[in-house]
Amino acid sequence: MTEVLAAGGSSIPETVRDAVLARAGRLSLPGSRLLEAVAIIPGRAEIWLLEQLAPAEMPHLDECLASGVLRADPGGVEFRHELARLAVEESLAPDRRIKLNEAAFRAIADPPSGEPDLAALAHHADAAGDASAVLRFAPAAAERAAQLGAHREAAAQYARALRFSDSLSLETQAELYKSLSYECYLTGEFADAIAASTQALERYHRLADALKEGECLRALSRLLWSIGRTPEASDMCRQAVALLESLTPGHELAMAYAQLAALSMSTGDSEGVVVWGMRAARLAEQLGDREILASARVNLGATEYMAGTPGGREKLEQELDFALSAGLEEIAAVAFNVLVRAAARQRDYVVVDRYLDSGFEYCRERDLGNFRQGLGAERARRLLDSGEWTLATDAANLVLSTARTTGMAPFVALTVLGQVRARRGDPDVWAPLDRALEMAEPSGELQRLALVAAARAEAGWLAGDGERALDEARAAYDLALDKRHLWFAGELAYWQWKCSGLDAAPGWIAEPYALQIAGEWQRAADSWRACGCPYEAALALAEGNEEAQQRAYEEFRRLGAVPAAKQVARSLRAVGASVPRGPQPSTRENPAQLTAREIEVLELVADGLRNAEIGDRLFLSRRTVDHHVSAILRKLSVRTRGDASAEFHRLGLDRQDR
Amino acid sequence: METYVILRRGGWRTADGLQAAAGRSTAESERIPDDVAWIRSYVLSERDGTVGTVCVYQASSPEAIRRHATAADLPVDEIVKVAETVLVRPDPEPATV
Repeated sequence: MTEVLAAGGSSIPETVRDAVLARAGRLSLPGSRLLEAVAIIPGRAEIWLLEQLAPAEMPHLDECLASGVLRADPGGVEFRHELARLAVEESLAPDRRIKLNEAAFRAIADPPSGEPDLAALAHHADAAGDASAVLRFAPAAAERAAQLGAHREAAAQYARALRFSDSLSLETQAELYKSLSYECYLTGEFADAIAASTQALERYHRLADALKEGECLRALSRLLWSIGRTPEASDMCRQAVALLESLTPGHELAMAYAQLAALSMSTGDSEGVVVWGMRAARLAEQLGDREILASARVNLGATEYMAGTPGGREKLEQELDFALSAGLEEIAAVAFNVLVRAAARQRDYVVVDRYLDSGFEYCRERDLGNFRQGLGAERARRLLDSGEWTLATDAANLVLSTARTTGMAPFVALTVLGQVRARRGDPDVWAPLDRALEMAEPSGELQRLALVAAARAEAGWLAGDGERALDEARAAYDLALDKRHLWFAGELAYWQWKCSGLDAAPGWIAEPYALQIAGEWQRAADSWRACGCPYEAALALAEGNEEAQQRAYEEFRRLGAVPAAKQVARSLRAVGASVPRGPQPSTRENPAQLTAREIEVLELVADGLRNAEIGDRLFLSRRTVDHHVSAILRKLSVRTRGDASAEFHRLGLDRQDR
Repeated sequence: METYVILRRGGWRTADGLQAAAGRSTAESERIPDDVAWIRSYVLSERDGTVGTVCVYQASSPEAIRRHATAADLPVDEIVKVAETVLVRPDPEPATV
């Protein structure tokens, strides 16, 4: 039954239902009536509540517990399995179910102590079909849940209220849809959020409430942007601005300005960021609205940071601190995402590492799924760049299995999956990169188009298809130049140069790429290593002299970068240079990266043999054995032979026949 | 699930080592049946006296194969996707099972 539960299906398998009902059927009549009362209460049924629902049957509680269907819980009882509860609840005759729920509602409305539980009231009102009670308590329960950071629960309560909303005024319906949309936006359920927002918009339009309509247009624009429909989102936000500018300037207009600034940022339109950001900031100051000021400054700071303007990052960090201390959760979550993404795109991993984990935790704790996934995808890219490809694909797959949208997070995760496969020489490279391209195209955004173009150019080059690599890199190069994006322009220029399709790049591109294109491979490699990008550093070395290429080869082998290793090996052989013998396949996967020979030596060290004896045994010179032993000590990070032999056993090398 | 061929050239020093690896491989693929299913393998007698394999697996992704290999401590030289299977006649009876 555990597996069935884990599968998360709401419909109950027939075999489970039959088994549960058969067991319930063996109870006495009062016992089974008591079980029915417990079944209408989700989770734990408290004793005081059961006493109100089934006072005469309470003495039969022990019988229910003894049957094994229920189990005791501090202060109450509950079904051993949620599916069993659902099976019993569904088996109730409609009038019996309604009566029990009505009784539960009355009891919970007047609890023996404390405040009534709003969510429970909404639940039982719903189950009893009491529309007016649902409309009274579900929105209140939703607000409470949202305050507590339980945004999925809040969305569920708003949706419940809306199922009973036919009798409500257009205005109230619109309010409920608006709130539902916002909660869905926070948790990353964009399709539901867009549907709800569209309903609200239509109602405000019919009511000729220009202020609310403008606000709603702005919110819907935000959602369209989230799923990558950026041009539509920009149009809609401008519409919102036009509508709101015809009214007294207020909070809603300032929000719309701030959002246009944010949209401009994502399309790489720095001028737009400044124009709209300044308008937002000015109006926010006039209104004394610190929240909007913060949101505008986040975008201004991010744009300056990306452009390399001094103080830009600090501005962004300041607003993040402010949002955190003022409890402005959405702004803090946005600031974490913007900061991490801006840092990652310029390979500023000191900053990425400072905010990635704390931001992820912050969003996770507050049920802000939308923003948590954004950071999860950046974690995958970070691991790609640091050469931890297994962890990178794990992180990418986690995002892809939870994000149900076409937003930024799954897009970024797909690029990681495609790039890791390409770099390893694994199959199925193009499927994720094709999907990512499909997601990027409608956005027209540099940050999406350039990211996927660079990934595709790299994959083309690794597959030995220079023509394709050129085409892919060119697809976003002009845009990157136009937006003067140092890193994207650099990366796309680099792939064209690599495929002999470009002789020179503008001087302002990011340093390591500029160095590589200028033939300064050593300085480029140092620069990449300083950024924490070992694969890129090895690519730079592969463009160097014989000795550098040999080091590149070893590094590619260590990373598992098979196609790049093959290319550099080919180039070494072409000039008659030797290709370093990589670790033997038989030991490549062993934890300390010991070679087969080193393991043999270590085995004898662990047996207590001296170096001379080991030499005799293995037909090696004394000096060669000395050399092996010091390599072993270094690889195992130990000082003495005794510690090395302890590691030999701890790592299980003694048990491996390899 | 897609079908993949995995090359593990010269992965083991002896047939006993391979036998132990086969046990780990089975245990691991039984643990994650939705991600990886081991179909069959051909054991290679390599020129340098070591033992290698060519394995046919079904898996949800190349990453699933690598995860399986890491968990079962198996080497991976190359993963190739199978586009189509042409079965001319069944495999000869295995010498030992």
